[in-house]
Amino acid sequence: MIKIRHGKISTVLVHIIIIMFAFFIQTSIFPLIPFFNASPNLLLIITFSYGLLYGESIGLITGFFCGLLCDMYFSGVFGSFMLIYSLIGFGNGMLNTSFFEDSITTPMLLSLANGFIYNFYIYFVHFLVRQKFNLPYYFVNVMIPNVLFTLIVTVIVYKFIYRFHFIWKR
Amino acid sequence: MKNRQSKIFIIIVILLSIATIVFSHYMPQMAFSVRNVFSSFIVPVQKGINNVGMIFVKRSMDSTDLKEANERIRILEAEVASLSEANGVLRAKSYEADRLRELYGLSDEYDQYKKIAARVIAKDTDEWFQVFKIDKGTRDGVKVDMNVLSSKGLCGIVTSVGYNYAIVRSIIDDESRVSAMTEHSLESCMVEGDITLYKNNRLRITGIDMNAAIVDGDKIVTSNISSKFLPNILIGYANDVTVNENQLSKSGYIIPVTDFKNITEVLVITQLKSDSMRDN
Repeated sequence: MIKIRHGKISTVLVHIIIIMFAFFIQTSIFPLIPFFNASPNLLLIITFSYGLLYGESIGLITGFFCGLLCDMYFSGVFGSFMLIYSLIGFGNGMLNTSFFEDSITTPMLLSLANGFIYNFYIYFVHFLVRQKFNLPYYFVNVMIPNVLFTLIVTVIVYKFIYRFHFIWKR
Repeated sequence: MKNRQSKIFIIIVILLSIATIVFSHYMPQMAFSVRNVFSSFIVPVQKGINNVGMIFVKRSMDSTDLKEANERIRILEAEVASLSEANGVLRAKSYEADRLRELYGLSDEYDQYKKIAARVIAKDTDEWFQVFKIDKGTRDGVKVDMNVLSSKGLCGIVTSVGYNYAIVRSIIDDESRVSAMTEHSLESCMVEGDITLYKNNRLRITGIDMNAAIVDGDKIVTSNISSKFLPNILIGYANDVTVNENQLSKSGYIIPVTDFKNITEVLVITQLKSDSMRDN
């Protein structure tokens, strides 16, 4: 498996730009679109795609950076997003050696799994601790729309990242 | 070899995250200053991107809306005619009210507050949180706990503020609690945001006294005993108020006047409740 060439500043820079771009779209463009009741989680897609394509270390670093952006962005305790994104990046990175790069099925399945993990994590960390027990409602009305939308966008974004990965590899 | 290295990495990151969570929990000031530095770079970019996005969204909306708009013009013109008539009657009443107010030495408190306009430049897109970011910060005199209004009524409260931005938690957020009262009978109650309700454009009201004279359609405004919200800001209208099972209190719902789906501009009242209490 090809690993990203460490130390090449331009490579790192390009990846940082991609992440920042996704972050800006997610926070400043999506809310403007009126019929978007749910919105896809671009940073999540990027984190697990990078993990999948480049391995655990890069997945971890990407996740850490994405989580940091989310933590920087809003108030509340610092570090909870850092933790979950890093874990997702790392976890998907472990699958790096045992998947077939060309297929879109694996990323789609992973998108579902990661989406649920992420949403359940938020439920536990931010809602269950405040004694909000209405999990079935949250599941149907918040988690499922978010996960499904993310799944649809995964198809597009993953293709893009994958192609980019290929071009870069050569 | 490689494997072991990355395992060490993940353990370091987990420990680091937990450390920052604990650290920021006990020392929020630290987290604040880090965010502040970060935002001074991020906010201008967000503003720019938001502007560009706005242009595109508006353009696409314009064309689809044109047909709809023409139809609505016809309906609205009829409405204007009837309203202008009603307006005449109301104006007469308003003059009367003004005179009476003068007489009693009261002035319209709502207009008295100094407000600054701000634009919403980013929102948390997770459905879990109803939090947004505005483009005014300490530079413009915004402080934590300042009330935020939409064009119609109460919208939220500033929860943290940086040099050039502020984070506003809207009243429909699950963590939001606003001490409120009915405008007429001054019965106190609590307006709570709830993630299970906001999609139906509702909030919950609780803690209404069993004997309170509150009926559906009553105007609910912020209470004068609230520690953070200035008094008499319109929140919405009561709806479906019923007696609780324990027969000791009532609860119900409230339909907010603010349209939380399309907030693009807000007003920040640059006066804190704690300040106004000091004045008195």
